[in-house]
Amino acid sequence: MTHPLTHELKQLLLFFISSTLGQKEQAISALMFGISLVILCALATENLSGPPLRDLYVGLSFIITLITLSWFFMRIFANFFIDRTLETLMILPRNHHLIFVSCTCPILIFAVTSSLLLTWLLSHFLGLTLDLELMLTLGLSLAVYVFGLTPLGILCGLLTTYDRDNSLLFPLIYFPLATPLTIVSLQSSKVIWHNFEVVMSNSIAPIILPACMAGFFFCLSLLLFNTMDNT
Amino acid sequence: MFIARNIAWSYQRDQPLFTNLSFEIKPGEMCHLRGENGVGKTTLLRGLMGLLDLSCTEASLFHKTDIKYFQANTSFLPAESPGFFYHFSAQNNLKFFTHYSDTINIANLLTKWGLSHPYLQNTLNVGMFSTGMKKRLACAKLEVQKRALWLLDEPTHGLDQQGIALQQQLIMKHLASGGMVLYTSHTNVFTSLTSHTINLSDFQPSML
Repeated sequence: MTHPLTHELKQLLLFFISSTLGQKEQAISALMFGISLVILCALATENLSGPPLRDLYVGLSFIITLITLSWFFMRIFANFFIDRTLETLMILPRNHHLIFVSCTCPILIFAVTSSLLLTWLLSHFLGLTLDLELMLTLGLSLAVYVFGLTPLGILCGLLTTYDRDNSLLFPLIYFPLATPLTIVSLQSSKVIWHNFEVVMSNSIAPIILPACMAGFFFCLSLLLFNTMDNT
Repeated sequence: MFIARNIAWSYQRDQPLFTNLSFEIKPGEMCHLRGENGVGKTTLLRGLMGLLDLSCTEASLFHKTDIKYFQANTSFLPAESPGFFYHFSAQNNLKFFTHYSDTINIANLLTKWGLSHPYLQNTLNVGMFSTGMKKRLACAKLEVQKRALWLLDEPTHGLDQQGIALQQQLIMKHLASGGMVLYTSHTNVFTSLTSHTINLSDFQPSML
């Protein structure tokens, strides 16, 4: 017999997976927005080559990820506003931690996949040939960053859902909170990029700090969501 | 039994909307909350559900004051936005709210509430429903959740005569089984079922 919490998590996960799939137009529009940014960046840097381009590539990857996902998080809960769905969720006699985790999982999968895809596209457009192992390590660093960014984005998206000026309020809350994580993750990716041969012996080391920070943001968002009774 | 004592709510400090509101609803009773627009009827219901910070000396359901217990045993029917998942069908919404229970025949329930067409039940998103259709779906949710206390905000809003009749039958059944109802309305549509009326305007502090 399955534990009631496992059963509830399974139900909620299935529900939020279909909920995220049901809003595919939001995901597609975010991805299209990201691809437009990639193309713009590629056009703007077409005359660059060598080390400056490499540094720029790391920075641009993070900027594109941050902006694309912000766009996504800001819009994904727009439907919640129309029918006050969030209020219904908050007064459901269900475990709020499980609701947040199951809401985050499918969005996190989309966020990681799309950011990796966009970064790969960017490297392709910039004409950078990356070693497979370097690409995987950089991808892991970016995935860790997205792991911290996603719960934060979901929390900010939910917090500002009922505000008429949410397009103004969301960036005001989200960007200052995301900045420390962005800086740490960016620095770690630069360390990986510049010292790849050294790092290779212990390729996970530069990711430990961003991973801790991402874990902190995940837990913080989870706890704050649980206290969001007064919507 | 639901007991509320000395409920008050303020937009800002020193600007109370209503104060010293006390009432009781016993099993099988239906209480009508009335008052002019803006007097705080919806605010009171939302506050009781824990969506706003009401102040009170006591708010208990069956002598329990825990808000989680209250939320688990109370159904809230908002006037205009019943809180459904916009991009899901009626069936999927009800499945979620009934914890995917195998014992409930959702298709039959929806048919009873006039949402009999398979397209309405399985395909069309609730976001495309009219106000009346959403209200019928919300009534189906009320029926299936089987909670002790119902907080109904303008329950007949958007419903046609047949819908109101169905809703009245549902309320009668609920009251007969020992349920409690607190509802807001500008009309006396449920007069025969109402056991007492509260005029929220009487609890507005004088601003002079």
